[in-house]
Amino acid sequence: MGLAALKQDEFRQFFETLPAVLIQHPSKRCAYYIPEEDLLKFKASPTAFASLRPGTVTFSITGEEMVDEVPPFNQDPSDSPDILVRFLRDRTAYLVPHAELQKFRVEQPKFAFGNHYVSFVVPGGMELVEEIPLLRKGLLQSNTG
Amino acid sequence: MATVSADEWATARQAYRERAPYSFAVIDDFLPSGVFNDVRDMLVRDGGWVRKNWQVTQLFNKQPPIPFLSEIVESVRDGLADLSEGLDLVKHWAVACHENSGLHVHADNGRIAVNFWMTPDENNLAPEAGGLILYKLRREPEMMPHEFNAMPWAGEYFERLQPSILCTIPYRCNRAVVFDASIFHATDRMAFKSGSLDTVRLGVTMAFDDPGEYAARMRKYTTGGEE
Repeated sequence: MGLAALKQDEFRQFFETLPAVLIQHPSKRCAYYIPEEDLLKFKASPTAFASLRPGTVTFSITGEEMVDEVPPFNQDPSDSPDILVRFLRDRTAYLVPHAELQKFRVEQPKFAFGNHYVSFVVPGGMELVEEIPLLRKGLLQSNTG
Repeated sequence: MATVSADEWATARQAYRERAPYSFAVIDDFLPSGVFNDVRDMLVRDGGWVRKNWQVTQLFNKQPPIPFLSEIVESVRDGLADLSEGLDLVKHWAVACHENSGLHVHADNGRIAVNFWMTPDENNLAPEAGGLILYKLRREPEMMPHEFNAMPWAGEYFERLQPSILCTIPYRCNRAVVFDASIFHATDRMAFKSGSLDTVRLGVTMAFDDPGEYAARMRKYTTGGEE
């Protein structure tokens, strides 16, 4: 399935290199801003991947031809998720444990940080999943592929 | 890139045919050692792993850029000979069972599935298990992919019909199971060393199908089920 056409005034940016990330966490009334040089330090290793838990919230930085099909979801009842940032362009991923995330805590920003960052919102639970039409959800819930 | 000899492929084809309608065959030493090492290294180092959705407990890697993929596909097509006529690779994926938890029962979306295992045997703490369970149940042709491939639909269908086990195939490193993709199957119980993708159970599946039939099946998801 191809990407939908851009709506008028819609803005889309593709990143050639890993950008900084701004992660807004509405239920905690805060945000986390992780510059790219800091994010690089959390590059997911084979050991890190093996530690992924149900409460890990995954965000994907999509590329022109690489899009993520599954919306972010949060299965952590304590709402203290680890964050996995996937940079689809070069197939790297960055796992930021919740405790480490706190080092990047900022007040809800009222200004732009610059051009080379991407913004995500930590879902409170499964609300983004619940918005998916049933047929589409059926496909996303597949065991394989 | 042949490790599997012509005689071994012939034996596999014969087994596959004789077991119809629940066709399957087991092939050991599936990949040449150099190819195996490159594929395994790619999988372990790759950043494409993710919990695919909110239902599964494994890590998925969708269409990983496996080295020698086209050569592996060609060797399978050549080895299966007339069984693969009109079929091509339509999808491939890898699964890492990082919590020692396998996939729920399901059937695959394709005509023939080739599932091969990539973790060295010394990490398998239960050598009699860890492989694949095939059941005496095939999906019906009119079923949509989520009905045989996704929970809860596939599970409910399976529970309703309560099929018996066709065969339990133990895990072996570099073993491939070639099976009719319409057969319901599940991962066997397992106990692999945990803590790293280096040691957990890694498997790759390649789905072969008639590309036109596959596209038609998937088109239902973009047309709301209407053809």
